[in-house]
Amino acid sequence: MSGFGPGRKLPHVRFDLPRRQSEDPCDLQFRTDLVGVRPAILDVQQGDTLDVELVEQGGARSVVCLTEEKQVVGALAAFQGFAQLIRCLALKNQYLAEVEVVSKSQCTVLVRRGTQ
Amino acid sequence: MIIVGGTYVERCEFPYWNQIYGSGLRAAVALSALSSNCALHTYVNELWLEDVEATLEAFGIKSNLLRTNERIVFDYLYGFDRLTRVDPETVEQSDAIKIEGDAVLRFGMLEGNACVKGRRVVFDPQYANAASFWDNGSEADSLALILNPEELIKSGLVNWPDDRDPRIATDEERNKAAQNIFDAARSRRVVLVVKHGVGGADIYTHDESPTRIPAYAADAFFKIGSGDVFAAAFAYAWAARQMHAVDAARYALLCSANYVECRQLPLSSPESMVARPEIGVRAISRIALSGSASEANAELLRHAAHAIGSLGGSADLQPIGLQDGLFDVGKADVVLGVFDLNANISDVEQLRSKIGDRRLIVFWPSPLLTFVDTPNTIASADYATALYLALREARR
Repeated sequence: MSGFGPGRKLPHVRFDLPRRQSEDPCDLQFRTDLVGVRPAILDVQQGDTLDVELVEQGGARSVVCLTEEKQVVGALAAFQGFAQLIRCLALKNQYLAEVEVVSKSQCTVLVRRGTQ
Repeated sequence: MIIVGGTYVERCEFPYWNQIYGSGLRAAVALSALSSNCALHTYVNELWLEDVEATLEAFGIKSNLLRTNERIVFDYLYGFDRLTRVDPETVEQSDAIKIEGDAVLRFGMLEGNACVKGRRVVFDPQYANAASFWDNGSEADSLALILNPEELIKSGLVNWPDDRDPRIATDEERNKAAQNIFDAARSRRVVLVVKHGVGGADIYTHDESPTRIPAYAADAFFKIGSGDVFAAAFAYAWAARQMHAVDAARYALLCSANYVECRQLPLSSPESMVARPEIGVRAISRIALSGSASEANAELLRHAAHAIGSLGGSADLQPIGLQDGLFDVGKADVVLGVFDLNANISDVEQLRSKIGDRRLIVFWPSPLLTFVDTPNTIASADYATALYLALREARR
């Protein structure tokens, strides 16, 4: 992160949408922050793998990331491809979230297809 | 609580961030755990519509989504530096959103306008003029305007000279600007909430002296959306809970500190907030800048000086390099050391040894950062956090 400043041409920043690894529309991979991070995060460390689960409650659907002990760490939401992820989870596709950055209430994960 | 505001894509490279929020959606998610009747009115591009609907459903937020052809994306290199400049004049305008309610939070939007009627309304103009609230027929029994110091001066002192920086206005001038806004509002009840660059706020009301509220310290600084969180928290406390404006602003500042440090959403209630240390309210002292001698780093140092200036501070850019005789910290109380990947621990230690007992903030995007262990030093691998910490320390 260097070489920029007033009057200097800014570097091109590339951001990918949640991308498919194949023609399969459920072969998703994306990086995002968890929303509503819970105290379970105290036990979570960089490199840990979380389960991604679709939760249906009172007719509303949400997606949460859980530890091996089934403690909710936080929710996935507010990104491009979120609705597709819900559709794929509803079709019984499975995803894992690898913890890339973790602090006392922030957790950035890389989500990809797979099982524990 | 009714919220009306934009929904946009936000992307940042340092730190990585690629989400759909914008002021409206972020405020709605922020308040979703506090208000069972949280409703969002917003414009949404077709491309993101189902992702926004799914997000609203997940947080139990009622909504009225109006489709727009505009696909607005805000790109940032880092939190203080938005690369995208959207000219509101070039954005296709959609039909106005009309809403009525007891407690309403209205944000200025790029692709449309909201005509609101409410008992307690909070207006964060964003891209619009603060005084424009009433222009489209909006009405409020009580109105809170959320402004930055520049907007206060420009809205309240119309003859302010173009060549004078509004951020250096005196307290007397700010008070006069506030009084002029109250006079223009005539008999309407208005509260002014003026936010400062790195936290803290001034509250102006008709019948009380201005109250300055100090910022709360955070250990990291993720700026994208921090103003939205402040507005949402203030609106919840002042408009929905009818708390006093000063108490509502204190709560909002605490929520902001939690957000910039940890990106905490949704928000906790005023009753469950945990106190944070306050940062002094004195003017920001000078900050000396130094660091690695590379050309790229010199550019970054110049950039840091510019950013500090735009946030109300002042910086002395030292000659590059730490050679004896060249480095003079001058009147600065705080030194920001910006180091590149070619630096090593001894460079940091050398700078530390040259600045006496002054506070040293180090930006160094290196894995070796964790080994920086010199006294009176705070180190960060995040550029925006390092800038914030330098400004924070210069205010103590």
